[in-house]
Amino acid sequence: MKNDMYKGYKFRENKILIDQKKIDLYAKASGDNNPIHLNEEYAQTTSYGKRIAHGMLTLGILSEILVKEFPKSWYKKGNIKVRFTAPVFPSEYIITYGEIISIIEFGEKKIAKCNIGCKKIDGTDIITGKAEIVV
Amino acid sequence: MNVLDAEVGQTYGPYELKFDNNKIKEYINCVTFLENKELYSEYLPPFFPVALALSELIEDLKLFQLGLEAVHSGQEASWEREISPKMNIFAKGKLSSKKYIRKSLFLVISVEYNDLNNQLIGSSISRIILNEK
Repeated sequence: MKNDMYKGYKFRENKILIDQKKIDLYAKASGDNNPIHLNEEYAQTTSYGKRIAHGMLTLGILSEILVKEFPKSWYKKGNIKVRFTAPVFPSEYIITYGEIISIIEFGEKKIAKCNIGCKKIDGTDIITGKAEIVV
Repeated sequence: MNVLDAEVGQTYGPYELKFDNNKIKEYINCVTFLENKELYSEYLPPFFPVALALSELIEDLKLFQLGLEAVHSGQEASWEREISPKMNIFAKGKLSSKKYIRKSLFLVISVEYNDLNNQLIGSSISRIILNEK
């Protein structure tokens, strides 16, 4: 944890483009080849009407803001709980955000509890949730 | 066993998760920021094993072969230690809950991740809703 972190500390927001190229690459890396992400013709038959990004792609990106904020801690031990509240369509930007809501000390360690999420440019929530990091 | 026939408690896997260099590179290129990349020469992003296990489960549950629309509505994950690309990780899935509410089927799928010595590395819970198209 950076020395200047405190309850109420807000993470720097990141604006990231989710394009079809990223979705295709994620499908290849993860093995999730569900046609709703990859096949436009199929996606048109669904309630979304077009292809959507994998929720786990967006969540993977959100997890990376915690690596940025807690570079020596997040990948070692942590937990996260989120809800996916809206789909992300190709060529949309997502904005990641987060805030420390409490810091609990126990011995030499601390647990930072955070609210985290992703939203669209118009403010629509995509992911909302909480994370805990032992630092 | 497909999810419509499966009962609560049905297990899936274990899946041996393989982290080949190309896949790691592709995953990192999808999700990470430039300044994080160096870190991942030694460790894996914590969500990579979860993503791989979920893909295996989606296949075995036949979520997209049943003519239903699947919505990933929630995700939890926790891990107890860093994950190296050289580790052998085995993911064991379980259908923890299956409830029909109106015309939707609400699923909870839990996964445990263990190493070769059966030591727990982490766990995850995926919440999925199946709707008629």
